[in-house]
Amino acid sequence: MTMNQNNKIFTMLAIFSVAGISILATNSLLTSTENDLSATYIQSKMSKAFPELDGVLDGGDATMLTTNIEDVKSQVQYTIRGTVVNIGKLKEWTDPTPQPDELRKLMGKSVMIPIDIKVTQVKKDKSDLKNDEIITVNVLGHLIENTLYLNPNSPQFEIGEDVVVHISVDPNDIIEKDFKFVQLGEYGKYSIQDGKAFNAKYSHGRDIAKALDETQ
Amino acid sequence: MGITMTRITQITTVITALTIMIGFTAIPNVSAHSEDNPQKWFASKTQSLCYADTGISYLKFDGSTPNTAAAKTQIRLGQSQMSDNTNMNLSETTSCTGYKNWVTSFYDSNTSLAAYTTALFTTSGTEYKLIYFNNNQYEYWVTNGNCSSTTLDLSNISNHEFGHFAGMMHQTDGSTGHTMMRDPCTSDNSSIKSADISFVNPHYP
Repeated sequence: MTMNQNNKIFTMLAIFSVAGISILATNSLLTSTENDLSATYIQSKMSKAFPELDGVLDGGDATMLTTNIEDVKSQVQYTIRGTVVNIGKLKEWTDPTPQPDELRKLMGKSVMIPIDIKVTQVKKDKSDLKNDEIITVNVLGHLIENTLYLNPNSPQFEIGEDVVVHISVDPNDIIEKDFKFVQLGEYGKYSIQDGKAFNAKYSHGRDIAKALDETQ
Repeated sequence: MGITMTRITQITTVITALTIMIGFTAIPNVSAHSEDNPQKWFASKTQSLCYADTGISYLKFDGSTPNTAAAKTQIRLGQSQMSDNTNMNLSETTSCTGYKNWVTSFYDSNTSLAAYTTALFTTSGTEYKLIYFNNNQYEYWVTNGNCSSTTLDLSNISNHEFGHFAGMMHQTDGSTGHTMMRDPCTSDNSSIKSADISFVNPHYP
């Protein structure tokens, strides 16, 4: 074997090695980017408040018009930070939509879950809410047999949880008068952990101040 | 010596070629859908749906209530997008006793929640899903191709919901024009996309 042949071999070896390593490195980078998108906080599970049920499940997949709270900030009456002090019992309400009997059997009962939050900071307020007052927001779902199906994209809460929530008041008074709910569901509620605000959109957390300011 | 070097060359070539193949194989296919949940797909590609006229009559469509026939026409476009372009066979039925798929409306305070499709229920061996459209009076259902908070195209949202009905989850991959399954609603909801079709069909051979 001549020196020229050796050079060719080593040149080929080098080219193939660089190509192979580059591809593996690219793959590693892509994989790590995907992993970075995974949640880095402990997500709340409302099932802890309902041990008597067979389960608390996400009710399906939805079409959201937006996931940016800024887009609907005019509809937000309260932006507060507070601590969840109570998760009430399921409360049945009557959806006025007329449904065929056969369908109504499949839908189960329309229910709301009242969440009591003790206010620690008020950022946006269209009344005179004060610190240490309790504000009650509601989550909607359907009780089918003994399983609670939350409406898709609903926020979940746990007692003792430190939260920032953007709250709207339903002007229709259909479910009940002055019915309060979390605007944009899971995108309008943050769980405060390790000094950051986390939710479905900000799985790596963001400044609490920014979460509070987004409806200003 | 010459034979030994030839073998070294061959072995080196094989190893590097294998390395390249492994690298390519392991790279995620960004043109395919990435989000999947096996529990959302029906066992059968043939599904019939009941349309609840009374529920649909509560949708404010083109500014008026009831506007049931016009609203149903728009919703059916979503059914057609799925049935005409994939292996799924979807049809409307009026035999609606027992455990059936249904399309109807519901009330939700949160107008940003335009519509949803339930989980796949199985009762007495029968699989079914329910598709709901929000009949909150501040939900402005129209036929203008938009999905903004002020006006909302019913057929576009129906396309997306029938994507969920088939079994697709929300997708985050690809660029504009890739899928009608983004969350939130985009202009891509206007029709089923080739990536959606190629994702659905293997589930319903």
